[in-house]
Amino acid sequence: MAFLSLDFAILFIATFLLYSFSPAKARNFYLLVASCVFIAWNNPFFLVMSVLVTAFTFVAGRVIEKFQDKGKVQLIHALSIAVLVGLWILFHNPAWLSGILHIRSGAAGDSSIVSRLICPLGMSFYTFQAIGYLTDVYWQEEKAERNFFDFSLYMLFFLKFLSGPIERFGSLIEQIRRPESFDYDNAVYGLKLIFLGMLKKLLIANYLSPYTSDVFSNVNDASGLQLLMTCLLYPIELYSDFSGYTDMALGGARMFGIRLSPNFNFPFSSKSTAELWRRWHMSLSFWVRDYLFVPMTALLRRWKAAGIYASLLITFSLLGLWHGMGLSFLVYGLIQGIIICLEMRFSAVRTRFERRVGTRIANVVYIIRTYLLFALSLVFLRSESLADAVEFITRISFVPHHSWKEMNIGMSDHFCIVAGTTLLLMFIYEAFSVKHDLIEKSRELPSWLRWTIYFSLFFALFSLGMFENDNFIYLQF
Amino acid sequence: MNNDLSDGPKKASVVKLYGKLFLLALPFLPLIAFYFICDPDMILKKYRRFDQSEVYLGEGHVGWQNYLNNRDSIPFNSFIMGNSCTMAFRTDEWEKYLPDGSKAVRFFENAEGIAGVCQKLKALEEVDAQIDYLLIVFDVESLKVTVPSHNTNKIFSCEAAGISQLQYILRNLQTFLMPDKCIPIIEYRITGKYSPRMKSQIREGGPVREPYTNNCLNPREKEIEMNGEDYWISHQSEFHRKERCPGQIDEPAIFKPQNRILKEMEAICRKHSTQLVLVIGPDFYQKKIHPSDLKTLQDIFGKESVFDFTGVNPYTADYHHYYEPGHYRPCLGAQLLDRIYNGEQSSSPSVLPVEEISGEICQPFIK
Repeated sequence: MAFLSLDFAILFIATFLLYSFSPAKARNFYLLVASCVFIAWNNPFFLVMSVLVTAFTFVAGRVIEKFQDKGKVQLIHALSIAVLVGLWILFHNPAWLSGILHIRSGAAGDSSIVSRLICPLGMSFYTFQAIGYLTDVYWQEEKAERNFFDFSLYMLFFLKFLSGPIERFGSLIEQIRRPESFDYDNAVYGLKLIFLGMLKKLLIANYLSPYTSDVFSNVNDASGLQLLMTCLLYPIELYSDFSGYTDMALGGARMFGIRLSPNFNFPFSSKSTAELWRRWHMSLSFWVRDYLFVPMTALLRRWKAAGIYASLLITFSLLGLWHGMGLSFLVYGLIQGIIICLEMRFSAVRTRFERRVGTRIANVVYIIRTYLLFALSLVFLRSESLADAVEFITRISFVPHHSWKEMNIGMSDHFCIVAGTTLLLMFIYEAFSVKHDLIEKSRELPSWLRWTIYFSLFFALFSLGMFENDNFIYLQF
Repeated sequence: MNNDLSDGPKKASVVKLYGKLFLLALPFLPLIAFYFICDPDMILKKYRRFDQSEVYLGEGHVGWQNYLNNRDSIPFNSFIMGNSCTMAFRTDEWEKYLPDGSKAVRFFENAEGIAGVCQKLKALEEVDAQIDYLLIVFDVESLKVTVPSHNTNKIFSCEAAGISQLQYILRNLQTFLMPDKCIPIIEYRITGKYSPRMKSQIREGGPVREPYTNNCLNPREKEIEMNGEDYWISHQSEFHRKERCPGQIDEPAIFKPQNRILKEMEAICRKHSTQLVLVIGPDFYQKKIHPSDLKTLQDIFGKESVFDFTGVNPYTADYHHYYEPGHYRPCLGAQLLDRIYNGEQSSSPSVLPVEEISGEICQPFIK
């Protein structure tokens, strides 16, 4: 059940209607039922799997808290994490899982059954939540949850189930424990956020997606110029797609009085790759920082700077592998780690450059450099194999096959105008949003202007939006 | 804090929200109601005739529904497929060359490519169609298209496009909501009068297709009947004479992906023992198909099935054969059929020297 499907719209509207006309204490019940329906709709096995992981994590948390013996607690914590990571790796590697199933069944292998069983949706996200929760309990930063019902909602809440944000236990469970009843301001704010997400997804990401996909799947047929443009456009597509999804998730949750963590903070204004990762997929990068990088740096503190570099490289390699068990994902993560290490190592060069050309020019150069490096690294994330990614990058050039028109990678003028205009508006909106909450500010506009904007955007969305593709890129991870 | 809705202000805010959402949806509701009641795209109900609609319809959809909804009463076994140039090939004219009892129908799409034809052939297979004779009309551009069009108005069947019926309706509704579509259609339905600003959505004059056979009725044919030679004089701005390039050869269009699609088409024809005629139409600008493309087509479908009318030849020499450079007339279509079925089966019918033919075109336009 995708966010942009009719099934989801019906489920969401029905749940919201029930919520808006019911007492606050009923909210969590409706949300949990809706979450179970949402997960099982795709495949009942996904629900079974997620409930099993939830129950396991709940029990493990209680056990970790119960034991006083430090050694035992450490062992249980490590074992629990191993089980969660093991399951996640197993389900993320079709070859291993199908191998195991074949051995057990002794059959020649019904690949269709295997393909339906593997890769439960949202597993990467709820597994990381579970690991974070168990570690917080182990570090005694959080108390183990007593209420399985509340804990299940924390794990399975349908608006963040598929692609995050990866929520911290402390921030979300408090909101679950104190359910709010319908609030007009929350509902309107949430609706505006959903609308914003739909604009990003339907007027930018979905406009670009067929054309970039075409180039990625026909690297040998594309000209150097087309490859260059695809490389430059893909970060925009990915951002519009993922941040569009996140806005919808945050908006939907806000309508139920739940504030989820933001995932993006104008990432393309980053002046370094390190900064980019503080602005891009924030819930994942902060999770990785807190539960992987910091403990690892502490562990390798004797190595001094080398320990930090090693931690960075390992952390980002694992972050790359989080996207999938392929060599290209590993390279994608490793590239981020190497760039950040180089940025740290040559920070003096950066300072000298800033002094020479002035901060403003240096900032522009850094922003462009960061974007280009990120765009190049994303080729590894998007390509189907490492060989494809290398082929893609080595063939990038300014040379067209026939004419410079190839710059539009096959998009019609109409498509370029719609996607380009929306992109420009999105960047302007996000640039201003850094300092002000524009959604909140919009309430101060005169009502005639507000409604003119609502109707114009509503009309633009429904008449120009590309509803054909209801899948989000991050669903595959 | 009272969390329940028992208090008045909270209830009022719920009502306020739903009220505002209704207000936001209000302008769309009459449009949606109009769409579902009037069915301007003729996709919501089953129709046997599509000739009476004053709205420009999706040609693929019309062709497919026309076939599906009439095949019980008319035993169609022959199909004219390809791009809009199929308008030059009338089913009654083609049937003259087919065995008695053969029934032909036109099932085409504007700017159709090989991928679209292949998709349509597969759809015909799916419904167990009898495909005894096939006349495919292409130009060089058609050979380049390796992906069926995803445009909503070019989807002929939900199954073929891999979408549900509901998605198909919603996508058509969405295109209807574009102001340049819904305003002319609604205005025409209300006033019943045609105005030039409706020309992109509403046709002027009589039907543009025949019922059941889906033969094209091009209004320009009437114009030619009425005005004779003056038709070409008044339309001479459409004929960019300087762009005529006799002797020039088009770039190669067939590569690996095209090859694969063409072979799929051939496999379907072979499976059904279909007698195929593949026409590469007479391009007004006289560009010749690349020899390697022609050879590939002949290798795949057989020399006897491929008929190339591009380049300099008597068909492309005479501007009277054309409505405008992109489309030729049924009178030329009839000549081509005669050439295909009665003439010698040559891959290139070019007979006149280049200078002799290319000079002909200019004379009347200078009048």
